[in-house]
Amino acid sequence: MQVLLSRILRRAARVDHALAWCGRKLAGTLLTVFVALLLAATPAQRADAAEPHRYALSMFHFNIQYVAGGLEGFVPGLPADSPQVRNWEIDDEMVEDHIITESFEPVLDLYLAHPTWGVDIELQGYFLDVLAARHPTVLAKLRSLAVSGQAEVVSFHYSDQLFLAFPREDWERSQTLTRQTFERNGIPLATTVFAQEGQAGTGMPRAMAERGYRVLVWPKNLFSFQHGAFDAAPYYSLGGVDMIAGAQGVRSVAGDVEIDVDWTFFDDGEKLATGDADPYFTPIFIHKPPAVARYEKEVAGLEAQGYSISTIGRYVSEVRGLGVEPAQAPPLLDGTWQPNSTDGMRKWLGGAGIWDAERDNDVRSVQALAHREIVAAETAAHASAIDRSPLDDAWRLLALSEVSDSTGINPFRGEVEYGIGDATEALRIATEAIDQAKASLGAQTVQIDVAQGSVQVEPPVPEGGGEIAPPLQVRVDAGGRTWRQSWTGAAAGVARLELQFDPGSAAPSRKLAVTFPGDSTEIVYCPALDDDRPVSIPKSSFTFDHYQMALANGLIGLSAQRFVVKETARVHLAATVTPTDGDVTFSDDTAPTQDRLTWVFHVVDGTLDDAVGYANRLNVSPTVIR
Amino acid sequence: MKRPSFQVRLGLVCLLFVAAGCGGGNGAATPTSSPTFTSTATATLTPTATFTYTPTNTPIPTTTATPTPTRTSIPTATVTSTPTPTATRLPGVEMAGRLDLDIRWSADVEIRVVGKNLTAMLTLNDAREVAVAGVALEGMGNVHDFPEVDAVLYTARFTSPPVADGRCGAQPVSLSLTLLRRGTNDHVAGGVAVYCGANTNSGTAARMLRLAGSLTAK
Repeated sequence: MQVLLSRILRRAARVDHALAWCGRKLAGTLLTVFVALLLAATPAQRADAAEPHRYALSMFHFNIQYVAGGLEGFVPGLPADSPQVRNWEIDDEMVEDHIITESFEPVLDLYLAHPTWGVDIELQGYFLDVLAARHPTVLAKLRSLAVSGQAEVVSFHYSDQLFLAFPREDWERSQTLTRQTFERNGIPLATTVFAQEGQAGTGMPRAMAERGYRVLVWPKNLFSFQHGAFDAAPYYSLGGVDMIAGAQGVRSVAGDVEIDVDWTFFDDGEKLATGDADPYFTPIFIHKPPAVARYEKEVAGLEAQGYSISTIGRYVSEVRGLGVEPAQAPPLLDGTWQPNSTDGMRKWLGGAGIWDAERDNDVRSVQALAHREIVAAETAAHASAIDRSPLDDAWRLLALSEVSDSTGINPFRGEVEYGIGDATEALRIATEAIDQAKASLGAQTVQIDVAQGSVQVEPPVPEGGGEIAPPLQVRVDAGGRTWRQSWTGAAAGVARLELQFDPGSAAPSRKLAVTFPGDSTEIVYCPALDDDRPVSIPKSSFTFDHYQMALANGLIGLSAQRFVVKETARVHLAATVTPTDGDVTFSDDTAPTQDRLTWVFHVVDGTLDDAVGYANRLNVSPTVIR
Repeated sequence: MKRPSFQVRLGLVCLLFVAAGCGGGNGAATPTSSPTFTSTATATLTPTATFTYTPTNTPIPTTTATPTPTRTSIPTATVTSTPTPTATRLPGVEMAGRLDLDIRWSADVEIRVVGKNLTAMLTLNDAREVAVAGVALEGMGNVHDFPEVDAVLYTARFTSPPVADGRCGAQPVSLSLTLLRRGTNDHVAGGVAVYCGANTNSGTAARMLRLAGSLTAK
């Protein structure tokens, strides 16, 4: 805004001088203001400035798991053999094929027709596997665009998974799969990062740098949700990598360098060529050439105005080359690209959508259980020297199961069960590996310590902690269900809370919540992909009235020396924090009414390091007896 | 990714289907009676591994269900498979249920648990491009306990002859059944991972079928 005001005043001064010569001071002053405003509203350059550098950027976010598992069962009120259902409820492969032929290939064709236009296309690694298996000619088109540098093919994960809610190891395995599939298919992997649901977090830069990524696209709405309206800098520095505010235009003057940025597209890529239809609606999810033509005309118009239709990576590189220094990013929290409408991360971790089949906690906690079992199986396989290769399949299945759409934004029942079914198969592979390891070791029972990488044969049977007095008073909203709490000592300074909810009988029993009292004026947690690196950020840094946290390792601070850790294999819901008090609430609006449910939390009294270590031994690198 | 615009549109479309029941009927299966705890697992995991462990814990609901299969689908393959009669008066605990298969179809599952082992029968009422509809497949498997989280996983493996025009073409089909139960709830969920080739239970699945519903003691 300061830049804009400065420009207006400079222009006003020049015009004012000319009008004074005519002696019509008053009218001239009014006219000055009018003309100045007109001038300010146009992209005209300053007389004493160099030609502005204009860029038009894009991010086409494609998701081959847009309807994970396919559309069968989507319109259950119609009989399976009706023509309407046959036309609509297509299976998993047909949904994938439609995404490619109706929405993806037309975008590639558009850019192939304009070799001077750069574009960013984001997709998961699995997308390439589908192209290679059934659409080799489309894969060849993508390869052509990528190899020439015209397109940046952006990918951060193999599956469109909710990686902000799970341990780093899950993402590492997914990332490795992504690189393998890019290499196998001859597609250069871009150094720009954008992710499913616009997930962005402060643990990403370190992970990015270690993997050769350079530019993080941070969604503008996730930025403004935390800090209010803002004028974007040309680019930022965040944790050692460059960052830009996705889809936020830039009007910046730094010295003699003027940078203008407009965005031509920043959305689900499936929508461009289909006239804003999406893959849930088979009958209308078809390639509509006029929609592509409209977009083509818009971009051509920008090019005619002098805009460089650029990739994001090239834009940042050129701006840096002009001597523009990055702005320092403000304090930021993990989140997604539409935090207003999704209530931050909660839509995927307890928030309800429009269907009644959601069971967020069920889905996410079984995935957390699968993580624990796979890392235990890896440890057991290493200790027993058995073949661990089946575990690669388990990691792949876990990545698929963790797809964001199994719990949000509006998952229908098929997507919910996709998230469970892939996870239980991963669980099966892991348990069989552990059984095989036990047989190899000649053991009936083993204690597997993932953090230590050790396996103890026939361990002594450990005793459970005794009942203790509650260290704090939780507030529980049981939705009309009968509920109980029990507190036991879990370790020195650690109290384990088990909340049991009996089956309910009415809709309100879908909604459960527990609040832990706290007094912290800071948000203390470990950002995703940084399981062992906690951050403490003053709540006063932010403008929101509440925020939803995923908590990949389960930890969040209640006070300076007290922390609560959710046991993610039992309860994996978003934590709600507010700037006005230190309380932390976990809530679920999707609890299955007929089920008996148990949530488990651990309250740790000690140092932050103690709490982080405890959380990671519980949820990231556990000890299990099998 | 479902953006808000999708929500609005979906809501409108859903209204068009209200008469047909769109958005309804997707809830979890309803147990036929209240479950009773038979588990003694206290599931007290700590990082120092001091938890109460009950290795043989196998929560079994006490409700009774009598599946009455109605096999209406027509087999799509020209294979010969002999349905296996249900074993009776055998040791162990029997569980059975008609589970929803990919929402629109069903699968009859019968499991007999003896210790940590189980035998299972799986009958799909639709071929799903992987097996012959209406023909019971017999398999063996295991019960896997996760006492620290009060959960149990039932697994079983099956083999089906090649299915014409199926996802595995001329290859035989290996099926991996997994069902997870939390505590003593009747509700189980999981699926059938379908692998091409005989005795193949890893690699990239040719199809993942989804199962959910009530699996109760017979």
